[in-house]
Amino acid sequence: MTNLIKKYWFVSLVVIFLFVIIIYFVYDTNKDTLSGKKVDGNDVVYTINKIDKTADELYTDLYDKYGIATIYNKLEQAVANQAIETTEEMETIAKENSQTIISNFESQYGDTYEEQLLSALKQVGYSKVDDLETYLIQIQKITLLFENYLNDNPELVQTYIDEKSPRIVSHILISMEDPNNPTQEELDIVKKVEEELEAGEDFGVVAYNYSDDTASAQLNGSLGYATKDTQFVPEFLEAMLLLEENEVSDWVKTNYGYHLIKVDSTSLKELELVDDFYTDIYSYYPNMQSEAIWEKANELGIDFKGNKELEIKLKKYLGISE
Amino acid sequence: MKKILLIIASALLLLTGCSDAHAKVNNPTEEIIKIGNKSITKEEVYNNLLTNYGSYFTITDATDKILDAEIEITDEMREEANSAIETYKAFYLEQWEEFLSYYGYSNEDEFINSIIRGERLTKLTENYVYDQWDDLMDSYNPKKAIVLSFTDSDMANAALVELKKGTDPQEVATAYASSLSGSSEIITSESTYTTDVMAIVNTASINDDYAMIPSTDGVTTYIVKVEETDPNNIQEEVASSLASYDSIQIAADEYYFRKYDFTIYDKTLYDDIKANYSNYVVQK
Repeated sequence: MTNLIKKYWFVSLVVIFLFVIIIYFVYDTNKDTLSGKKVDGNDVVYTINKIDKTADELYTDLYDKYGIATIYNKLEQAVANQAIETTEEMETIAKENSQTIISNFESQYGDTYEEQLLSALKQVGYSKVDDLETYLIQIQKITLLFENYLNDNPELVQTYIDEKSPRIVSHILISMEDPNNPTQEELDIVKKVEEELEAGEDFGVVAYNYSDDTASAQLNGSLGYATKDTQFVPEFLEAMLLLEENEVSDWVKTNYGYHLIKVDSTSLKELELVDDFYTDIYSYYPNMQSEAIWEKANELGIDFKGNKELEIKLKKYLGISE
Repeated sequence: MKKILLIIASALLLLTGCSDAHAKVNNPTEEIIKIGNKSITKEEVYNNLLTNYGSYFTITDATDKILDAEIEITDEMREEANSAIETYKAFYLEQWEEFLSYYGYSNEDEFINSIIRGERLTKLTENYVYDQWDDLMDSYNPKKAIVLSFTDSDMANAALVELKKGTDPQEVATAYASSLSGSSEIITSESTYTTDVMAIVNTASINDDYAMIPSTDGVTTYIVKVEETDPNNIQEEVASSLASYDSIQIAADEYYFRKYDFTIYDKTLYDDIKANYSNYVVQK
């Protein structure tokens, strides 16, 4: 061996040098590696004051406090993924929305935006910033699930409509300093509006040309979706609720001035096209979300693996009565 | 030659064999629930719980273990907690249960335990102040003083006359519209008074009378009287005051986590705590 090394001294030197490099590289790569710990065959997560907390102990503690919420998130994901197919449109919308969300987080939080975004995603059961698009696809699927649930339960929609009188509304406002004593100039505009409408001019066009509510005037007078709970002044709200579809009110006096109110639509087909319709229904039926998920989960089949306690706790969490 | 190659191969194996530890639950593939064709396993639930709640829970749990080792629950703490509960109940009346629920307490006992925990945490930080007394006195240079503040110089002058007569400073503060209450306070290097006020606080003796600091901003006039310059004579007050500082609480947390050798053996948890609660990562 010694003769061999002497004969091939240069090669030996190179090998030793390489060996040292490798050893150093291994040391450097692993010096910050986190080492594990086992106690009685159980993995330890952390130790404090020589007291070990194993993974199973931590699991039990966390599960007691937060387990049901976590399982619900998983259940919702499973239902969304199995009950509703992912479409290209969903993927496109998710991609666009994720870019908007990231931009918004960046402008609000600056350098820490990823941390904040991750924190928000963790609340809904995801663990990486990259999961954002997946989450947004899930949202679309869940929304579609609820819409299907409502279609299958039309009595829920009818009850909501009967209770809340939803409609799409427009108005023309003639602003007045003192609506109880309008000036001649203000009354002239009122007359002009009346004349144009009587001549058959479109309500929206007249609103665009004359309404002093500049925000809605830009939208041909449209105030959008309204119900009996919309925060309009009482006189306006009362007059609005008395109108049927396509009806226009007489002049309604409020402390803003004189209004003409038009109900553009009360038809379900039109209302369903407006996001506010579904948002309002979900608020009206706070348990509907969980009922829809629960119904679909049961259709797919739920197996609690004999854990009756889990079943009871999950139903309680969802607000599902036995 | 073969031996050399064997050694090199072993070294390379070492390289691939060393990776960060991730603590695993037993029976990770145990099915918790199955929905349609999707099984949710124990490992999946655990990983989710660890990611979402692990770091906060760990810090809280570790802190509780430190409290158990350092701060006994005394009858005085229990009495204070019960007294606090009565005050809350008297305020909230029929909304008491709603209040408990809103703040995440299942019942009254949980809330009492939370109050007692708060008292123990304060005591723990105070103990840290006592443990590190000399260093902290050098850093924070605490003094006990009375400071009044006026936006009207006439009021300030009149207040000074009263104070020099011996009128109670809190009564003077009220009578002459001081924006500060006139009660004694512990002032340190972290206090946010103006440079002029701090100069008086740091140089005056307890024998000096009330000093007026004329306005340099054209708005505020201060009156200052130093009551005690030696923190050793007012240890409890100084400890209580310093214990309320964020900087001291952070230093105390690190001190105790180090003292009780807090060590994390899971990479996911380690990274999360390092990112969100870095002062608690004390292991080498």
